[in-house]
Amino acid sequence: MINAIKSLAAFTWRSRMKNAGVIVFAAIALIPAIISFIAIQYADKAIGNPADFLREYIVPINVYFTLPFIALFLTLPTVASLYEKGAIAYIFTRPVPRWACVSGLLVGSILSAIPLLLLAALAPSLVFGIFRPESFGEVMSLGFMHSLLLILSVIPYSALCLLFAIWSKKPLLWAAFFLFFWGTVVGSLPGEAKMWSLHHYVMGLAKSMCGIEKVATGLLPPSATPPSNWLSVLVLMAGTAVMLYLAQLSAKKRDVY
Amino acid sequence: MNYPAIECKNLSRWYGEVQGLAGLNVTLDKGVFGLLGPNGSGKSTFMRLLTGQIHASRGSIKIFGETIVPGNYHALRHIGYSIGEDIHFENETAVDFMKMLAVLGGEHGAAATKRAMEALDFMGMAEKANVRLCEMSKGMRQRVKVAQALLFEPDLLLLDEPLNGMDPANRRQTIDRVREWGESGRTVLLASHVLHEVESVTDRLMMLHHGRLLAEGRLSDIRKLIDRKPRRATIKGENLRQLISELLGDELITGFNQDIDGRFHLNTFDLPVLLEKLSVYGRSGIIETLETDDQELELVYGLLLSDNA
Repeated sequence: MINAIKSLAAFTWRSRMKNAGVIVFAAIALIPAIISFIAIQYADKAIGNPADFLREYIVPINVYFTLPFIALFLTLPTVASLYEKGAIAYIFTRPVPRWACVSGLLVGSILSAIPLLLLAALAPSLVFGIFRPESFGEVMSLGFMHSLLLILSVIPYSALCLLFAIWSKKPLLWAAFFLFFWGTVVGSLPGEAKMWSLHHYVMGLAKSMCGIEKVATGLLPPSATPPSNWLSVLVLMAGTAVMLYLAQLSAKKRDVY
Repeated sequence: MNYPAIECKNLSRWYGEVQGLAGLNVTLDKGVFGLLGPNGSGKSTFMRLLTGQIHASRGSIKIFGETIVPGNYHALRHIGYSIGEDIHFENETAVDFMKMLAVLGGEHGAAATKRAMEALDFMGMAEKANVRLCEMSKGMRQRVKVAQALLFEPDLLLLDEPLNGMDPANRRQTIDRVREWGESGRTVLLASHVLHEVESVTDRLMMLHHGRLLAEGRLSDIRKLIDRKPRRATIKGENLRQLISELLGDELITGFNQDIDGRFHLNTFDLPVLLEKLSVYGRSGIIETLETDDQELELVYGLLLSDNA
């Protein structure tokens, strides 16, 4: 089974990385670095501590936008197009359980997201590290924690996209709704409703791992009482397991044609 | 294995209001079988049901005694399946694609590569192993499709329109391979909407029409049905009247008419002999063009449907 998962993960990786679309994703992942570069060129003095700029601007941009965008547009097309073209039949007519097939597709999607997320998290730190050498250590260390945060978060986000890609014939609509609206808006509401959003736990980790206290726009700020690290990781990983289970169930239910 | 290769009981599938397959009862053992029917007759639906891709609305399927339903992957180890649609793994090379499927079938590492190469070689595609699928002609991709179905030397080989898009040489080679497979004591089910394609591979067939089994048996019996109805050849040329008189005298044609373009439409009960004779005249330059109605399938269906009615 492990070999089957590895094989499908490798296929997903190849299909994403050999696709010209990866250039677009790389360009999107570079947006935070471009913002950092522009900021340092035109507002160097106003920035103050570069690490604070990263915390208030760059980490929120990545959590609110880059992360869901990459999860959405890397995972959905891989799986949805296999269904649309009927090519999933080549995989589902092999003597392999469906859970192994969907796990392989998920692992491949996560692996192909990682280089882009590293680019999104480390490149801005590198920009500040180069132009403000005195803060190199601090911004790079923040960059690594930021990377870890994004990698941990893309796991459940990709699982959610995978579930919609298998369950629904309109996966983009569902995934966009849950990642952008449910995730960021509901996940930032005051009160208890936000505990039903993955975003709440991602922001909980962002607060403790990257030290985010506020976002520059003032919109959708992190919770004043974030969940603990352990709870956040537990919810994100348990959420992944539940979505993987539902995805393999959907793969058994959904007809291929 | 003492079980039949395929055993379907009252197998039905509806797509909303549309009937894909209706009450199919089929038992197939060893050998090569043709599954014949026009587009939309239910061939692909049947194939998808046999491979657990779609759920049956009613009835049951057993492959070598094991029940097939989506998600029951154990029974799939007996089956090699060449899908009707194109491959759509565009960026993969043939060998990467095959290796991935070999690993999904239980092999790994060098063994998976070896198996992939052997299957490609069997279909005459070993030289193209490192070519990306999007750079191949449709005929080549069709051969890769058949090769992936043969990866694990399946006891049951299901081929959905495997000859589509192949040039005559590839077609011949594929037909030979499929026959070879059937003669090795396994079961092959080849779906096609072209009668002569099926005929080139096997004499045993099932005919589907609107999701129902219209007929099953030997093709030779169906040929007899065709022979009950006159066939038509159309010729055009100079001074054909004498030739037509001769054909009438030999009772090779039962009648004829001439259209406004000057073409003669000849009716016959023995098309092969008539064509043989006409080809002799063709070589002497009397006949400029010769056409035959290439609508055998429609003819067979017409006959069977009128018989059933």
